[in-house]
Order: sequence, then C-alpha cells, then structure tokens
Amino acid sequence: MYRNILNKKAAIGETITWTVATIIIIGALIIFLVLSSLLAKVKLINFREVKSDVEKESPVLTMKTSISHDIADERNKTQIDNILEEWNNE
Amino acid sequence: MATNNFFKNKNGEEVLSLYWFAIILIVAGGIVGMVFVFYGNPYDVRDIEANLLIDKIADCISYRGKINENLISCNDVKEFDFSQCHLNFDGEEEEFFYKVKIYQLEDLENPCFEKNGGNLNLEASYAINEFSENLPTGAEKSFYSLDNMENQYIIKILAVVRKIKQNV
Repeated sequence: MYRNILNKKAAIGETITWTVATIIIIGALIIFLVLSSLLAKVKLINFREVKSDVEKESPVLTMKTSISHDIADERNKTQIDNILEEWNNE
Repeated sequence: MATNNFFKNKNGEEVLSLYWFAIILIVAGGIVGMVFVFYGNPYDVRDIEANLLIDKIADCISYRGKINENLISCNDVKEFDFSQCHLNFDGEEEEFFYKVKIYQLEDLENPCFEKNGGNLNLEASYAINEFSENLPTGAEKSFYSLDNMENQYIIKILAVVRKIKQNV
C-alpha cells in the first residue's frame, strides 16, 4: 500500500513535467504560426500606403521632367512642378 | 504480483509512446501550418508592375524630354499604336488597362489627347481606390514633356493591373 502511494507520487511529478513540456511545445508552435502569418502579410507590396515621398516618385518620370525643364530653359518651372506634385499625390 | 507490475509498466510505456506520437504529429502539423500560411500568400507585386508599365509607356511616348510625335500628338489625330512600344503582354491583355492623357499647360481640364487600351472594366475597379488582394490595383503618374515646337505638355498615365488569381 505504502509503496503504491509512493509510486503514484512519482507519476504525478512526471505527469506535471510532461504537461508543462506539452504546453511549452504548443505555445512555441502558436508563436511561430503567428510570426509566419505576420511575415506572410509583408509580401503585400503597396506603394499607395508608402509614407516616404521618395518611394512614391518614379525616377524615370522625374528624369524626363527634369530633361524637359532643361530644354525649355526652366520656363514655367514652378507652375509645372506644382501641378505635378498635386497630381502625383492625389 | 510481479506479473501485475509488468502489465502496469507496459501500459505506461504505451501511453508514453502515444503521447510522443501525438507530440510529433502536433509539431509536424505546426510546421506544415507555418509553411502553408507563409507560402500560401503569394508576393503581390502588382503595384510595382503598374509603376513599371507607366515607366515603359512614358519611355515610349517621350524620349529625351520630347514627345514622340510619330506616335502621339495633340496637333493631329493619330492612332496610338501600342505595339510600337515593344511591350509584350504575352496574351494577358485582359489583365491590364492603361490610359494616356496629354494636357496643354494652358488647359489642364480638357486633355488634347486621350487614348486607352486593355480591359476597360479595370478602370472602374481601380476607381474604388481601395487596396486589396481581390481588387485590381494600379497607379497614376504625371510628368512634363515638350513637343518639337517646345509647346509644354503634362502627360498623365494610368496603369491598372488585375492579376487577382495569379500574381506572382
């Protein structure tokens, strides 16, 4: 009888160890699942929500505008730049 | 008594084996889930694609600061032949829409030249102005150019890309 009680106590300790181990394993899995779903959202590349103005501008179009300004001796430059800024940020 | 203990021990081992099997299944399922979640979402590069399309059309209609008047002109009506831009949609014309408008600096309300191509339905979808995987996306950019007489123009290009099912 006494031996049986001792055996049960050992089993309780072992059960707690395995239960805690299981909770840790499942917790780690959930953390990794959440992390991978967050990483998956990074794959949506949306320029419309990019905050930086530098990335909103196309270097190709900026270059074309700049060349045209040079050819036209910067005629109406301020007016044109204001229009382009307004239209490109709509 | 000894036989009884032997059976008890065997039962414990079976339970532990089952437990390990269950843990391995859970871990394997978790790894499969992570891979599925990560690779299940394809890279959505339609915004970049639309911007590249705008750059290519801009390269086609304006070169070295001057409008390519063989292709488009405000002074005489020309059929804008997109094939001259050497863009290959690879049989996916229905997935794209583009619109080119040219405004004279004196009249920014009414374009002196307007031409569009591709799938016309995409323009209305883009006008919803909401970014979603299930809606076409695109961009509208403007730049400045001159004609051979050095008249000043603002060119506005709209490009819309659908590719809802297969954006890579």
